[in-house]
Amino acid sequence: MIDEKSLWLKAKNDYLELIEQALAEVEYPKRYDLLTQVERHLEQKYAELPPEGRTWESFRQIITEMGPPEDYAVLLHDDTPQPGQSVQGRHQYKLLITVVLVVFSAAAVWLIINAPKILSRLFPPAKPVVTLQFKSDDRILGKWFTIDFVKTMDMFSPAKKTWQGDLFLKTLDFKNQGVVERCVGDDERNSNGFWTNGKLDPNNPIPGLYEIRAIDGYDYLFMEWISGDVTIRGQKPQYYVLTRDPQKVPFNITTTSEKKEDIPVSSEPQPQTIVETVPIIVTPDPVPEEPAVYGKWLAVDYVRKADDFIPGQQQWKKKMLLKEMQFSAPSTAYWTFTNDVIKQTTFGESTVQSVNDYAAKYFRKTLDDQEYLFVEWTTLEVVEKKQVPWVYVLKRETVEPAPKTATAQSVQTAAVVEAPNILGKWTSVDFVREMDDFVPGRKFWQGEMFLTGLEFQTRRQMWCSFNNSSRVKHSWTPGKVDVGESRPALYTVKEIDGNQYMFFEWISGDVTIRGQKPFYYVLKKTIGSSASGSRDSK
Amino acid sequence: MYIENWQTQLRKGLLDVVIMNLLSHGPCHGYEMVRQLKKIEGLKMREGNIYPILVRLEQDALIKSYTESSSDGPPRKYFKLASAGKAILDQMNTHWEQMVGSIKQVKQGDFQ
Repeated sequence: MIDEKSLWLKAKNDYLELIEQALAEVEYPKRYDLLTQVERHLEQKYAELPPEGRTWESFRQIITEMGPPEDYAVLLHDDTPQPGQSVQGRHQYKLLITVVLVVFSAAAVWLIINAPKILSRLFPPAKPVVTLQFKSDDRILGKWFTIDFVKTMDMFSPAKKTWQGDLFLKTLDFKNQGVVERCVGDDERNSNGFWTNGKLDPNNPIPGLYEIRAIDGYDYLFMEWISGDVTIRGQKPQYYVLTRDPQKVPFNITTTSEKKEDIPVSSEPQPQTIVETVPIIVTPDPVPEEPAVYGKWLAVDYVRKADDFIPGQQQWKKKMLLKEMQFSAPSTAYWTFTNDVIKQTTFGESTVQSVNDYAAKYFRKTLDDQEYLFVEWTTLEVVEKKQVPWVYVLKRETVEPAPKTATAQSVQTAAVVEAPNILGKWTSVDFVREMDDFVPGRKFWQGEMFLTGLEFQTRRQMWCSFNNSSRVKHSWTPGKVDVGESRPALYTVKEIDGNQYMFFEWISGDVTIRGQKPFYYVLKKTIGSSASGSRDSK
Repeated sequence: MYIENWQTQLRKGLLDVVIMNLLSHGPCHGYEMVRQLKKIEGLKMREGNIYPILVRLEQDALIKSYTESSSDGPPRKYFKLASAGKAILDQMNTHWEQMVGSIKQVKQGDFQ
């Protein structure tokens, strides 16, 4: 569980990020100005909430009241005046449009109200009034199988499945004359509905729109999912992705798309633009030395493209993953992340090996008498989706080569303790995304920790203690705790620098409902024997 | 559904003139504008709607902005009508009155 301030920051930052995405085409100063004002507004709303009202529901309410992120782009849209057309003329034009809209709308309303009368006069023998005519679409006829569920159509990649949970919608079978048979749920219930060209359930207040896209020679059907989030909470629909032959989808065939990352990357925005060139994978061949880049560089910004960077005006408002880089002989680059994990790679010929073994281009540039290094952030996703990587901007800190010998920090000496003695009290010391994020003596999690401790007792009993002074009893078996959810919380005990730490999965709704990977509470034993291999744990 | 869409489009189309009329009473910051406009039931505006319009109106030189320190947080950005904005607003209001009159005339079947 996460404290309310962290929840608020998540809600706020997620919303700002969506606005930023919606405004991707808007030039930087204008975009920044708008985001700053919206953030100020959100902070004020939060400040006005009474302490007892600071709940996830009220945060969602604030976000909902702000309106959909897409509205910002629509309302900001500027009809650039034609040469010779004044701003005044443009507003007159807008008013004219509004007048036309109002007049037409009034006429339409009148027509709708009087439609039955008019129709009955035109068609005296009381013919049924057809509210919607079916228009066929040959491309969609037949059966489609669901393979993924994505937030936006552009997020889908045949190389990598996005949705890790169960897919509720199983199949859609589009038949002639506007009937569609759908199969949903684990029990594969069938029901019939209607469709017409471009729409599913066309008579519903909000029909589900569909689009067929050809990707790598295969057709994929993107179907809007009209859930309560859309109809009640006004959110943008997400998409089921369907295909005619699920066996031919690359992520169902290969297993090569497994994540290679061993550092957190998910909080970075997804690059949008598609390019023809794919970053090459760095080979371990020797590369020429580049002494000019030797030294230490501090990350100061993270930008969509290098030209977006303005010294002294940081665009990336969230915590950056990369903290600093150091380049030294022979061809050695050190990536230091904000969680203090250090990775060692190689560099040369204006290319540095990324932490995922891809080639990241870099170049140096002097701005306002300060030397900066621009380094592509090349991830697996960037490579797979052929996207333009975002760019980290780093400021020159030192110029000396400062060679490092094999760093002790670059490899954590963490060994899993087999059959640990877990009996006793454990106190929470951190909350991490991955077990490797934990570094003794450093805090990955900056917020308050909800779970404060665990106490493992004999007879398979254990207690969880929380920061609100409550305690909950569960049962345990070696390696897992039954926390009363749909899956147990697994734990692993590791010995790091001579101390034993327990990594305890946190099974929240993000895990059980949204299918996300659990975070880990890291706990240190405070009371009880730390000897390994006790019979009590068997 | 139709009427809701129509109302939404209409509201969006008229937000410029609403904001400019509000600023005709004096300088105001975004948050305060939202508070004032939320009191007017018929507008039913989303709180975030105001900010892109302010950015656009400022870019079109119809309004101006300045920053003032605030006792409850970072400095606030205040907006006021520019002289060009005042002239445009007069014309907008005139057109609006004409439009309302025209619709009334159509409603009453007065095509003289």
